[in-house]
Amino acid sequence: MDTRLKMPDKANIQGLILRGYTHPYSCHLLFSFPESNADEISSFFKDLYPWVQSAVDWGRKKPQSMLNIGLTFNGITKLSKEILLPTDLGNFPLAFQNGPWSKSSQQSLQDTADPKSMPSQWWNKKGCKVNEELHCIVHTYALTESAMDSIVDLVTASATTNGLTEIIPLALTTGNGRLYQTMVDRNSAKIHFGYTDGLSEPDLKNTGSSSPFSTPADNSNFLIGYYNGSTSYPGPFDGTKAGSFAKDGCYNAFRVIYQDVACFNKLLKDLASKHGQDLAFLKLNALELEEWFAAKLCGRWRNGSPLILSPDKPDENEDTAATGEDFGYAVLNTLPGQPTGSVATDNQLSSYSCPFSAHTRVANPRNQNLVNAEGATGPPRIVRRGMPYGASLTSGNEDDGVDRGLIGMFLCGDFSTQFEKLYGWMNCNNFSDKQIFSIKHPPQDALLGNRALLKNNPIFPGVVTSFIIPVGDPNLKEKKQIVIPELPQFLTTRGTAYCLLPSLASLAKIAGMKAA
Amino acid sequence: MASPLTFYVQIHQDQTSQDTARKMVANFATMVKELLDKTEIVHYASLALIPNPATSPGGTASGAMGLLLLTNFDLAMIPYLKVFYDDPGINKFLNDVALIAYNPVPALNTLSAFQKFIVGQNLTPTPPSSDFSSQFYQAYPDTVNQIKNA
Repeated sequence: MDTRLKMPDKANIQGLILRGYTHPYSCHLLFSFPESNADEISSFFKDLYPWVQSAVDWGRKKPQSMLNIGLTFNGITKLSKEILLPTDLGNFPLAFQNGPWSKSSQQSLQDTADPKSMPSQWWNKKGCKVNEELHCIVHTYALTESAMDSIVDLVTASATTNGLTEIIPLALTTGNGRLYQTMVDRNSAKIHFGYTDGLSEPDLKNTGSSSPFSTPADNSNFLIGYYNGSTSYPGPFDGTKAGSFAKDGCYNAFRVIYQDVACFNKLLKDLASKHGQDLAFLKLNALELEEWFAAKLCGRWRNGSPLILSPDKPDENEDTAATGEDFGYAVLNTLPGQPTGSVATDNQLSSYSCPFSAHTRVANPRNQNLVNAEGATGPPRIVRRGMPYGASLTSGNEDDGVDRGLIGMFLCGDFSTQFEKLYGWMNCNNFSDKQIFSIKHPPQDALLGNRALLKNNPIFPGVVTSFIIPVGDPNLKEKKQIVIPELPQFLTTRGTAYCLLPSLASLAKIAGMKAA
Repeated sequence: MASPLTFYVQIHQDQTSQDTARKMVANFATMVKELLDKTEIVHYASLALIPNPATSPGGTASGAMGLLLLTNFDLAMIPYLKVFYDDPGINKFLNDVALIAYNPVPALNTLSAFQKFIVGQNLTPTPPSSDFSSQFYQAYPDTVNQIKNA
């Protein structure tokens, strides 16, 4: 039997899945389908289909404007019965069917722990009704503002004609309530906290693996329909009508997150001021010390260079700063005086460069030891295709009341074993053993942890919001550390939707067309 | 304890199914011990036969009406059902339960089907919820690891 991973057809895969776009303009439009009218839905998709960007390389001619489309489970239930029967729908994964507001998904996401992030408050406080009625998200991209306006007009005009209702996800004071991309410092890769984002992504473009074995970063764990060696089992599976519909698709956890930039900036300033003397040996001025704390919270300097490779200062070489990715957190040492080949894994040493609960170390702990309950396949991976929304903060650490944050697009093959599992890790660092995290009082991801979790939280008992930064020379007997006793809440969830990014063949089918 | 599971499955009354169920109960602890010891997230697990009801007060009845698995494990339920799906012994056990189930169970050949079967047969509401709070008591919220390392 040929056990090689089969080669997907890029022409059948939505481009967003296999590549991150760098178009400077983007808008994400949310729609509710008309009640019981599959013809109107079909007509809407027919209007949009010519603009859908596939994963085929566009060469030197970057499209002026283009779009990709995601469908929620509730959206799929509204499609023509000729596409999927009600009996087919049960083959979709449970987390996708139930939605991110469900009790089971909230065990990991924990939005329910924070009154401001609760699903009832999502989508500009319209909450529960919109969660159920959100059927489709159209992700539009353009090279110029006028091209952006044109494609948004095209999509919204077709929606109006075909009886779709646009859902306005933000307050009207922010971009007319729509989710428009913002450029931070004229850099499409930067987010509001000032970090370069989107680094170290699983390389899904590598679609021709001849290995029968899969790693969590392989496309078999993201694309539906390529199961050999997959560790996350993207479904539904071949042999069902739902499996055929979903094949060459990928799931997208679309999550809009407000970022309290003033609070973040204030924390950095306060930390630099409070710990200036403790850290005098670093010989950094106040601003450099703020950058040092920003790096320790994230695991990377703001230009993207990882602390493990550049522990003392950011790598200023643009060619290597954000691309040096060949590193791990565990170091294998041969034990002195022991037989040849005996090794001990040292996870501690690396914490002097990158703290255990730094965001990038939690989201991808690489070769760090994991507890047995996490299985033997290594940490799950997700693909990030997000971007900032809302105007940049210009007033330092004073809040200006502007809504700003991240339009998060977290791609995965299975919501529960990839996206939700990682979110659980971020809310409670319990995935490695007691040499790394306190078992009695596990910490949280320094940036993304939900601080509203109570110590008696039934899912993550004992969790604390403190953050420890080991400092100094790890070879000295006397270990030093900076302890931040209580990290503040930086984030508020504005909304979350679980979408399928279907293949072009399935989009064509919805449109009543034959795929190109 | 994050994920209580009260997993009830009605089973067929034929002799083969009844014998299979009895053997499952007799071998249960041995079958699960290695994985549960290794993963350290399961507080306890108990498999029992639910006797057939008597047809008249004080009357006797033979055989089992169903299988009841009572367990409680740490961490969110659906993401961590993969731990059990990936274990050949427990995967086969659940497939064998499906084979003797009175109500037809779709083939458990995918993680998704496995999750749906378990969650669908769970009689305890998912926490956190008011249903869960009103129906479930626990003396402590600690995880297995927290207790063992106390």
